[in-house]
Amino acid sequence: MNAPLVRLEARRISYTYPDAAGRGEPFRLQPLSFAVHAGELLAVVGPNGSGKSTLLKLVSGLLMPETGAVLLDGRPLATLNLRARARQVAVVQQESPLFFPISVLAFVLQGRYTYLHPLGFESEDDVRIARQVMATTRTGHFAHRLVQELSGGEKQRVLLARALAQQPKLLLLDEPTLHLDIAYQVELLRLVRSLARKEHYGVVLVTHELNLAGEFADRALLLHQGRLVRAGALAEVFARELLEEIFQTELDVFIHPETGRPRVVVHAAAATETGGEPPSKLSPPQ
Amino acid sequence: MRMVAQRWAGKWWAVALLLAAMLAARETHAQSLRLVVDETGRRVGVRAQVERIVSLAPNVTEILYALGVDSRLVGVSNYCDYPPAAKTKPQVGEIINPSLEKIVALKPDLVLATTAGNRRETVIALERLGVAVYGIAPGDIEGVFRSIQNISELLGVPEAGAKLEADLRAQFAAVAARVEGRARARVLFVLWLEPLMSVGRYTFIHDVLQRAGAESVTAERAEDWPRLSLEEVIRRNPDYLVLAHSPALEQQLADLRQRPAWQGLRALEKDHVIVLDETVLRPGPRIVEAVERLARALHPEAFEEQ
Amino acid sequence: MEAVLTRKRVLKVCALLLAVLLVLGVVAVSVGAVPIPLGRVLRALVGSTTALSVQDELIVFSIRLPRILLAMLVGAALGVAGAGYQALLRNPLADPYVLGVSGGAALGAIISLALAERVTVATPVAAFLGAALTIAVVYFLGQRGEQLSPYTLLLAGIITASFLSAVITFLMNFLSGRDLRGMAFWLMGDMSNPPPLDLLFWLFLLILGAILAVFMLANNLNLLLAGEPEALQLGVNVRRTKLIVYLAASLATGVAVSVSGAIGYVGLLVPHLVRLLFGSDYRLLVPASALVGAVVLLVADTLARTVIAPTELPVGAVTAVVGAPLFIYLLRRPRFAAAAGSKE
Repeated sequence: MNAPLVRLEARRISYTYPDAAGRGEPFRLQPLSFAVHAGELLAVVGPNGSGKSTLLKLVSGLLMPETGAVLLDGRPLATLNLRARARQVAVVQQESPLFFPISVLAFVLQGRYTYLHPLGFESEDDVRIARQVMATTRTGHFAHRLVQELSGGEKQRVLLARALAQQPKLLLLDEPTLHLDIAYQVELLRLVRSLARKEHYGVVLVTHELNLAGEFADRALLLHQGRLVRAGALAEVFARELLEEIFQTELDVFIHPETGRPRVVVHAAAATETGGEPPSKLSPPQ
Repeated sequence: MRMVAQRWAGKWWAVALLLAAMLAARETHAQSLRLVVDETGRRVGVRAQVERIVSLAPNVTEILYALGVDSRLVGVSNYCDYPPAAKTKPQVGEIINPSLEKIVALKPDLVLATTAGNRRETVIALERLGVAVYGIAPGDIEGVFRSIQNISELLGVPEAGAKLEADLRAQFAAVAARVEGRARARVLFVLWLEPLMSVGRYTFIHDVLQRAGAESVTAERAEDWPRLSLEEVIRRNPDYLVLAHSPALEQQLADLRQRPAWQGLRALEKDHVIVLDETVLRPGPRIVEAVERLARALHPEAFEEQ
Repeated sequence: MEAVLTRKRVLKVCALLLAVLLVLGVVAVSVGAVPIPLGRVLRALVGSTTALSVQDELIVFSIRLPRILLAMLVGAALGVAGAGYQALLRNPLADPYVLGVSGGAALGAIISLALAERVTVATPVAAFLGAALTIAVVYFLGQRGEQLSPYTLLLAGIITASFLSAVITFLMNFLSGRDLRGMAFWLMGDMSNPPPLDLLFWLFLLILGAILAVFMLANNLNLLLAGEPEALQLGVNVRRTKLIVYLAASLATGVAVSVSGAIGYVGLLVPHLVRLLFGSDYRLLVPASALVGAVVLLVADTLARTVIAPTELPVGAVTAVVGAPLFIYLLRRPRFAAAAGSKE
C-alpha cells in the first residue's frame, strides 16, 4: 500500500518578530516540525498569542523562517517563485475590506491569476474551472452579485472558492469560522474535509474552536506561547490535564462513543467553589 | 508641391512644423526689419512701417491715443477703457491671459505689452508664433517718458512723442513749482487693505508721491509691494492715507474706521484720507493728473489762485 | 453586466473612446475665439495648403492644435495616475496630487520664476525636477518594512504636500514684490502655453510609457485591491507592483503638472466615471481612464477658451465647476456608497 503523499513538511521552523513594540521580549515561535499528508486535515489549536497565525504565515510563505525549511510536495518553499507557490498553496483567511465593486465571479477568477500570462485575460478554461469551484462551494447562483452584498457565510464560501480556483495541493485556513453561524461553520468544514479526501489536498486549519477541530480534524497540533506542546492523533492532543494547563480553565474531555472524536466541555462553576483542586503546573515539553 | 503636401498629410505634425517654418520665413522676407531691443532687454525684429498695432494694456493704449496713432490701433485688451473711443476697438481678452488666436487674427505688425500687467509667458508665446512684441517697463515717471519716446520712435512719430513729453514735463514742472519748499506730507499709500500692502521706493507710485510733495512712510522698503503689519503703520503714524479708488473701497474704509486698532491713527482722526481714481495705478500720460490731484489735496494752500 | 472581461471588450471600448476623442479633437480645432469654417479646417488637416489664410493656418496649427494635443496628453496622464493611485493607496478618494507631486512641481516653478527672470523655458524643467525630488522623498518616507505601505505612503504624501504648500505660501509672500503673476496662473492650471510640437512628441512618449507600465500591471492591481496578503498568496509580486505603479503614476503626474500646472478633479473623477460606465477591472480601467481623461480635459479646455471668448477662463476653474457637482452625484450612487462603505 502506498503511503499517503506528504503535502507539507515543516522541518524545525522558527521565527522571531523583529519588534516587540515595548512589550519586553519579542515574540518567538520556537523551532518545530510537523507534516501534513494528502487527504488529511490538520488542526492547529492553542490560546490567543500562541503562534498559530505565525505558523500559518511561515507555511504559506508570507514569512521566511529563521531556521529550518518548509517543503511542499518535497520541494523547499524558498525555491518556488511567487507564481509557482500560488499554484501549490492557497489560503482562506479573513477578508480584507473591498473598496471597489467586484462580482463574485470576477473575485473567484482572481484565483486563476497564476495561470494567466501577464497582460492576459481569462480563458474559457479558467472560467470553467471557476464555475466548477463555485458549484462545489455552492456559490454559483450569485456569480454576478457583488461580493460586498453577500452575507458572512456566503463570503467565506466565496473565499474558499477563490482558493480552490488556484488548484492548490495545500489548503490553509485561518480561523475561517470566526463570524459564521453554526450551520455555516459546519457546512464549510464538511465541505473542506470532503474536498481534502476527494482532491487529495492537505489541509491545515487554524482555529481556536476546540470542538470544531475535534470534530473535523484528523490530527492536531497544540501550541502554547510559541512552542509546539503536543502533536499527533486527537486523543493525544485532547488530553484533559494538558488542555487545562494550556487554557488555564477547568474542563472535561468526553469521547463520543461511536465516532471516537473528542469533545471539550467547560464548567459553569469553578471547581474550587465545589471543593476541587485548581489546575496544576505545566510539564516541560518532550 | 501639392503631392508633397498629400504625402506629408499623415504626419500632420510635420506639416505643422513645415508651415510654421514657412510662415516665419515669409514674415521675415516680406519687408526689411529693424532689430531693436525692448525695455526688458529682449531683441525684437520690427517692421520699418508699423501699420497695425495691438495693445495689451490700458496704459499702453492711453499712450498710443496721446501720440495720435490710434488709427493704427487694431486691437486692445478688455480693460482699455480710456479714452472712451478705445472701448470700440476689437478686444483680445484679459491683460493677464489674452487670446493668442484673436491677436494673430488681427494680423498685427507690432504688439505692445507692459511689465506692469502682462505675463512673460504671453510675450514668449506670441514670439513663437512669429508676432513682434515690444515690451515697455515704466518703473517710474521718467520711465514713462522713456516708454513714450521709445514707442513714438518705433511708430515713426518721434515729434509727437517729443511734444507729448514736453507737455507732460511742463505739467509736472508746474506742480513741482507749487509744492517746492513746502514741508513734505507724510503719507502711507495703501495699495491693498487685506492683506495690508503699500508701495516700495522703486515703484512709480512712490515717484508720484514724491512729485506731489509727499514722503512715503514706506520709502525705505526695497521690494515693490511690501506688506505691513498694523503695528508698523501705527508706529510710523502717517499724516495722510492715500488709496486708489475701487468699487469695494467705500465699504472697506467704513469697516476700517470701525476697527479699534485703527482708531489711534492720526490720519483717520483728522479724516486725512485721500482717495485717488485709478489713474494713479496706470503708468501712462494721465499720471500727471494723479500727481496734481494728490498735490492739491496735500497742499491746498499752494494751489490757491491769487 | 459584470461579465468576464475579455480582450475583445477592451479593444472595442478603447476603439469607441478613441473615435470619440478624434471627433472631439477635430471639433476643438475648429472652434475658438476666431471663427474659422469647419470645412476649411478639415481640408487643411488633410493636407490642403490653400484652404486657410496665413493667419488662420497659424491659429489652427500653431495655437489650437498644440493646445488640444497638450490637453489630451495631460488628461490621459492625470486619468491614469488617478486610477493608479486609487489602487496603490486602496482609497477611492485618492487623486494624483495627494502624494505631493504637484506641490513639488509648484515649488520648482516658483523658484525658477524667482531666480531666472528672463528665461521661461526653465520653468517646466524646474517644475519637473521639483516633482521628481518630491517623488523620491515621499518614496523613502512611505516605506515600511522595505516596501511601500499604502497607509504610510498616504501619510507621508499628505504631510509632504502640506509642507510644500506652506513653503510655497511663504515664498510667495517673501517674493511678493516680484512678478509672480505667472505663478498664480500656473497654480490654477494653465493650458495657454503649450510647448512646441516637437517637445510635445517627447512628452507624449514619456506619458505613453508611464501609461503602458501601469497597464501591464493592471491585473496585479485588481488583485492588490483585494488586499495585500491575499494578492501575495495569489501569486502577485506585490512589492514590485507597488513600486512600479508609484513611479509611473507619479512621473506621469509630474510631467503633466510641469507643463500645465495643477488642474484639479480630472485625476480624481475620471477613474470613477470609467468605473461607472465600464466596470472596475483595471485591464479596462487603465486604457479607458487615459482616453476618457483626454476627452474630459479636451472638452474642459475648449470650453475654457470659447465660453466667454476672447477672455480665457483658467481650465482648473472649469474642471472644478463641473467636477465638484459631478463628484457629489457619484458619491450618492448606491454602488459607490456600497463599495466605499463595505467593511462588514
